[in-house]
Amino acid sequence: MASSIENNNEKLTLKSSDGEEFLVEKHVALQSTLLQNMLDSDCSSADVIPLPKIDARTLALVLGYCKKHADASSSKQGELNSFDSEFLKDMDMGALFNLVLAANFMEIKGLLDIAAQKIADTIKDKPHQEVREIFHVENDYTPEEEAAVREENRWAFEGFP
Amino acid sequence: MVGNQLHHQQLGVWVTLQIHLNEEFTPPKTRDSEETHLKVMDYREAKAKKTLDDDDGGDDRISALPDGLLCHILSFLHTSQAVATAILSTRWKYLFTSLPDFDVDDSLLLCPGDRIDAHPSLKRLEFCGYGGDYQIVLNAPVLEYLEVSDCVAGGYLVKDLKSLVTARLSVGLTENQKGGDSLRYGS
Repeated sequence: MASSIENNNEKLTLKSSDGEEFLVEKHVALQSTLLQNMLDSDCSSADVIPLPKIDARTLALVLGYCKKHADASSSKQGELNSFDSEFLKDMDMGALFNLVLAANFMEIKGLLDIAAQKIADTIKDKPHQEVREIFHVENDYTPEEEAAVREENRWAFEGFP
Repeated sequence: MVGNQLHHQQLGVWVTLQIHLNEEFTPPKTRDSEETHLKVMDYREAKAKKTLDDDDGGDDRISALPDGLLCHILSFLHTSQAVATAILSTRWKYLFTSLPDFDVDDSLLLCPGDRIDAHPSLKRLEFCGYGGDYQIVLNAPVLEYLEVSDCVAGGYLVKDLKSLVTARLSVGLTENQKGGDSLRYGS
């Protein structure tokens, strides 16, 4: 284990949208398919890689996730699962959306999936009006249009509020 | 006073982690569990700040997500719930039609003459546990996978099945229903 870390001891610098720089071990950065492809294509790991869509706080969270999972060979799967659920627990919606967008942009599948699952769980089994309120979705249907949508997909609304 | 001390300790952790992320530092393996613990405190501390400083401020963040990402989120819901999100707003009206997988089971209560007009990208469809003397009309031009299991229905009319690669039919028939079921290919 120690030798594999030594072999991957290269580091690269990531720069957030608000100008903060993060020095990251290469094996941690490789959790991101985007960064992996960038490194594969030009290998200039000495350069600073700008991530203009991701703020420092979100990037710190993303890299915390990546580090845990990159070092996972010494961890048990159960430990990783509990880390994942603890990682997103009680996270505010704004942070969760920043995280899901960052995971999507950086192509970190595991993080994308747990964040998407978390958002889906918030929708699950709730009346539509409550979902609209939670996410601030404005209902822009006319009453007639809304009734038509309900009728077209009648089977999906059976037994559903 | 105790609360203040705790607060300062947590801030200390946050600062320490910032340094770890910014300098060349590889924690010894023996500190792994401690590191994990610190990271959890790290994001909690940051999260508390976020809520005070700049909450999502009433913005509709979810509707602003790109289609592909929203569909990925919907894919974690049962199909009927994903379809039902069409009611939220016009932004959501057709999103579910891009879902790659589409499960239909008896909880959906399909009715006679029901028609499933799938989005052109629908590739996978499963029926299970469905019963009734009904015909289900399915229009799915690029469907690649169709599974029908434990189903008793008056018939299925499937149109435009040019790209079907796999179909698994496991139809649960009682003796007197045999011959009643059919899977037809429409023109």
